[in-house]
Amino acid sequence: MRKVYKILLVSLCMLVVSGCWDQKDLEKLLIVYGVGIDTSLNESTDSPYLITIGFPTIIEDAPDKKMEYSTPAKSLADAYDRLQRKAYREISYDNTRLIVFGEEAATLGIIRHVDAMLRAPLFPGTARFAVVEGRAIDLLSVVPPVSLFVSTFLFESIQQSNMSTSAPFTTLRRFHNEFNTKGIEPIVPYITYAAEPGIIYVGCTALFQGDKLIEVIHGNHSRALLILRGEIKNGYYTAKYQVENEELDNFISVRFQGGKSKIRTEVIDGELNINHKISINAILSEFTDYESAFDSEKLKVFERAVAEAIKRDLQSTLNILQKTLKNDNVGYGRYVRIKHPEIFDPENWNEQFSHMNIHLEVEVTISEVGITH
Amino acid sequence: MPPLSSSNSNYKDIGLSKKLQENEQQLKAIFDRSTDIIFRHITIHEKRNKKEILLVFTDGLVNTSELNDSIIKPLNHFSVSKEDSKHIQEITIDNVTNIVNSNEIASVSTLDEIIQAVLSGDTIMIIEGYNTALKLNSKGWASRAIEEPTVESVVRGSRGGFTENIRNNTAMIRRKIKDPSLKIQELTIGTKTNTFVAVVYMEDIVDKELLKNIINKLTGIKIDGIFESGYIEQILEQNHFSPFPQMQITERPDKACGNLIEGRVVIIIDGAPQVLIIPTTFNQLFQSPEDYNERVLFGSLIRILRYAGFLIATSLPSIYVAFISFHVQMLPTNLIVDLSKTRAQVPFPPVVEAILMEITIELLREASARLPGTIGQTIGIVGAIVIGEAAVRANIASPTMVIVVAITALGSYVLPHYSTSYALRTIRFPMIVMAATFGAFGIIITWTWLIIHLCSLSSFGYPFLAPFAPINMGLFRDAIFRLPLEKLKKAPNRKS
Amino acid sequence: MYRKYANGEITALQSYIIIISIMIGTGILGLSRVVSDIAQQDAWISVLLNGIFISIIMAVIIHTVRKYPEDNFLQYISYLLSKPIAYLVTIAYIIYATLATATIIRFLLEMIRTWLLETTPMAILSLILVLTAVYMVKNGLTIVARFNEVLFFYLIVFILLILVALPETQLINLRPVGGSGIKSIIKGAIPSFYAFGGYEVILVYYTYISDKNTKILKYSVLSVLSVTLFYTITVASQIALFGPDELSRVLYPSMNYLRAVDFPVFERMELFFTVFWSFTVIGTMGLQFFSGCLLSQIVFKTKKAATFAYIYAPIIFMLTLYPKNTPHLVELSSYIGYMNIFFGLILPLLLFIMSLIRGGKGSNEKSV
Repeated sequence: MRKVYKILLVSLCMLVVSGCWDQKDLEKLLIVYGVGIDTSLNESTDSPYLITIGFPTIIEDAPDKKMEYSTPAKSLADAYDRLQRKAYREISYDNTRLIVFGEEAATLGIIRHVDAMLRAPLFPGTARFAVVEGRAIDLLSVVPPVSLFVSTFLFESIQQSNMSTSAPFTTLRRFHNEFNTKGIEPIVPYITYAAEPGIIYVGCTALFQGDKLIEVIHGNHSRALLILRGEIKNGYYTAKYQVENEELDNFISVRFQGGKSKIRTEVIDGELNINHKISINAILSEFTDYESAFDSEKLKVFERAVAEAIKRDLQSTLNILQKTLKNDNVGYGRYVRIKHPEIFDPENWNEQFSHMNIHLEVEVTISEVGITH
Repeated sequence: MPPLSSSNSNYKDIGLSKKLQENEQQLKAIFDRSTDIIFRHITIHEKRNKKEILLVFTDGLVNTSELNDSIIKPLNHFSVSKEDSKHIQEITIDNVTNIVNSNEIASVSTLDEIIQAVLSGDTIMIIEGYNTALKLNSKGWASRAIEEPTVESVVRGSRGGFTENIRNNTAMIRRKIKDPSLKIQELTIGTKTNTFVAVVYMEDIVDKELLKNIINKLTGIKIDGIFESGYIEQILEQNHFSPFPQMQITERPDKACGNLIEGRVVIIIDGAPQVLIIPTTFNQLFQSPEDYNERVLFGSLIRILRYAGFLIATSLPSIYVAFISFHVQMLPTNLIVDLSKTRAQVPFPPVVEAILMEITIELLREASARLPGTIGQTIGIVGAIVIGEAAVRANIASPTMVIVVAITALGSYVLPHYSTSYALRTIRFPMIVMAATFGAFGIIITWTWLIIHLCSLSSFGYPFLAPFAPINMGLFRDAIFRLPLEKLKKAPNRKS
Repeated sequence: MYRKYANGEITALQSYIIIISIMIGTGILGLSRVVSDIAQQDAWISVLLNGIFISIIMAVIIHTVRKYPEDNFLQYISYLLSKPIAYLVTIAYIIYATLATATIIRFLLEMIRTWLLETTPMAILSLILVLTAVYMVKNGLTIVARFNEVLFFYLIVFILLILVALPETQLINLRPVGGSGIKSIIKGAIPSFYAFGGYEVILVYYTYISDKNTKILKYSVLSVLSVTLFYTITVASQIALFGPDELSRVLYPSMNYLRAVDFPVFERMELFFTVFWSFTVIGTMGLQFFSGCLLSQIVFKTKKAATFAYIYAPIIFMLTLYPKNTPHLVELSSYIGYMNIFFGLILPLLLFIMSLIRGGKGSNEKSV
């Protein structure tokens, strides 16, 4: 019996030592930080997409600290193959932070690319999605003034914009979730370039129907959409305040501290009505008319003014969604589906949505006024 | 109680003769060419006739002043003094005990007992006309003063450690446990060395079967020489190839006494300051007397730290290798670029780097243990820093690797029980190799094998991994956390 | 205590841990998807009902086996049914245990190949796992039970992993509660039966418990209920995160659940899940393997059960290499599911009814 053990042990050792099949040393990998998907410039149908990857060059003596490679390809996985031929190391997508779609590519539909990302077990589910004005390859080549890699820069700046309730925060996993869920359509942050060179502006939202981009909304509409969705975090809001005998306009600014959105449905006369109540907590941060704001009656007036202003924004955004686009990006469909499954039609919800009666109600609570009177 | 003798069996049944001359010749023949065995004749002038007394002792093992003052002087004095000779007319083997001042007198009749006694430092007194001899205690030899044990120092607690003298050691235990149920049973083990071995236990707490088993095993040992507790440990242990020790060793009397009160058996060997504690469990390797001297919160936290140290010392290099070679996606993204840059300069794969650094640290450790005193410590510190720096500069190792190796080395030193560090080192290397071949799966498999091995290990019938497996609520009070002393008052009920 | 842990005996506490450990195995990975395909957002109610049902079965089993404390599996079945049927059932159980072990090993290998090691040949990994299983069982039941006891503490970490993605969950996905209808909820309980499988091993192991007392019934049922609670919470949180629509597209919801959040120190929690889950599955594998070896020892009357470990190991090794890919494996494992229903549901009820009819003590009774 002893001899058998010895032979077994030796053969086991040989097996173990003979190969390390999966060993991928860190320095032998090309770590991709950002992926960009565009439509290809030449009109060939063979390779309709242009895929770009942005990565740091690790080698100390390389002339550039980062590089981008692009290739025309049929799909994302096809691009993996073609890009590997250009690369000097094995490409690893397991640390991707940002996935950017060119505007045109987004209009054509993005779910075809998403499948390759979802199927790979190690592709990070928290990679941020973004749609950029123009082409993604241009965005990835930008060197932002404060960071080396535009991917990490955008990774942080999308987070910040979301915290100030200006742009949504969409990850691969969330997009897939909202795409598959019936009754809500996905939204993706939209990136534009500001007037100054090298400054990237994250403050708009791209609206999707299914997986196709249909519209981009800016500024207050983008914020309003986020408020409608209930993702109210921080951020300043300025509303006009009318004071008598003043020539310049006066403004009240509040700072959001979070909020809630409550959607209720009820059937009146066979018609479905949706009551959407939004309550926002805020603190007063500015009152340009240099008067005392330390008066509860006055604060109530402020609250009403701000609520009015917000409601106007919300209403106009909702009109865009209902009348112009006929697209439910807010998620009313999910509530209807829960409460009234017999009315909800999963295939044609967007059509139903456009005829729905939706009543908005906004309530702002100012809980603090700061330290001046 | 005469020690059970397992040696000198060729002289076992030979007795003394009544003639002093013959006895002397026999003993001189046995101790031929041992010039340190002294034969001292004393002639006593009794009232009527003279009596010859022979003292046999080993020079160097006896306390010379005591021998002179207490044994030889009264005998000589008896010859001269008229006072004493009024009461005692004739020296017999019974009344010589009234003359000689010795605290321990026993009667011996066989040659092997005489030889044993002479070689242990007692003095043998043979009186003409009697075929039994007297053994007088006169032990005294040069021995070390009581010092703090070097590898088991504590911040708070007593600073005395066991010495090489078995009597000192038993005395230190007696001073801590003043209870008559503390029994000290002495055996002689080793055919050539005849070493005294004392088995110490608390009669009313110890498990009788365990005790019987231990004594049977000890008396059945047939070996030439026992020099240190390690010999007995290796004979008594159940699994020779396990990296983990199956009995504790300690140099501290408070640790030994704490274990005695919990019902364990302590084995003290003459000539070595380390004593054995049987049986032991896995979590005892993480206990130090300081845990009990300090308050509950710190005792528990420090113990948790020790467990963390154990985990770090075994697994950290392999985790590093697994992350760098296999699971790059686990590294924080901000770190990857820097890590990659430093690794790109090193020509070796992470495995080779890890093993090289580990071997260097092992060499450093052994070297600093062998070199005398301060040089050893200096080499240890300087070597670690300088070699680490130089290795990074020469691109043989990456700085992360140096940090990993340093933390690993630190982690292995927090364990109070010194032998466990050997276990850690033994486990670390196969784990690195497995991690290098199979990544995280290799680490999983190595830990599984380790846990299965620990589960099947038992120390004298007591499962090694108690209280984790089998879960024993009594012992749990003292395993990872340490409950306040009120809850620990009773010895854990190990019969449950 | 000195003699109690001679190999072959387990304490009552170890038996509860064995029940919990053998139930939490490969089933947890795809449980939510499989059940929510039928029961939509009320899958967690299905799982809960299933768990309660199984705890009743467990009570039935313990109640039956309690009457024959000294009989082993073969003996009390041959007392209740007849001897030839008992031999048939035992040999069927041996085959079931061997196949189940091979399935478990193969599932574990699939997971490891997908998430950890992609290129390593399946044969090497399978060899290592089979050798681990042999090492675990060769020293007897006590060692296997102790191993699972040590693993029990890992389960606590497991449970904490559920809390990881809670910020991303949306409770609206769980509503309307009860909206799928009673029928689909009950139908949804059937595929979840496999995830709970393994508890019937107590039929084999009950006689080796060294300190049988009346509390065993209560605590065994409690073990099943605690596993039920754990599964229910897991399924509920996964539905809350994904929603029943997306859930049908996700193959391993338990792993994808952890992909939803960023982490400060380690980027990926999936690796932690894989590590702890692997330990649990290895524990399950050992128990299942040993039950087969133990019954073989009873039937063929050899001295040690370990001899059969060596015999079955190559067979299992071959079996693990047989399925071609994961869908193939899932198909094959559905047969195991049927056998599981037989041993877990039909056999205990049969034995219970027969024990009521037959009454009396077993063939090996010394004293109660």
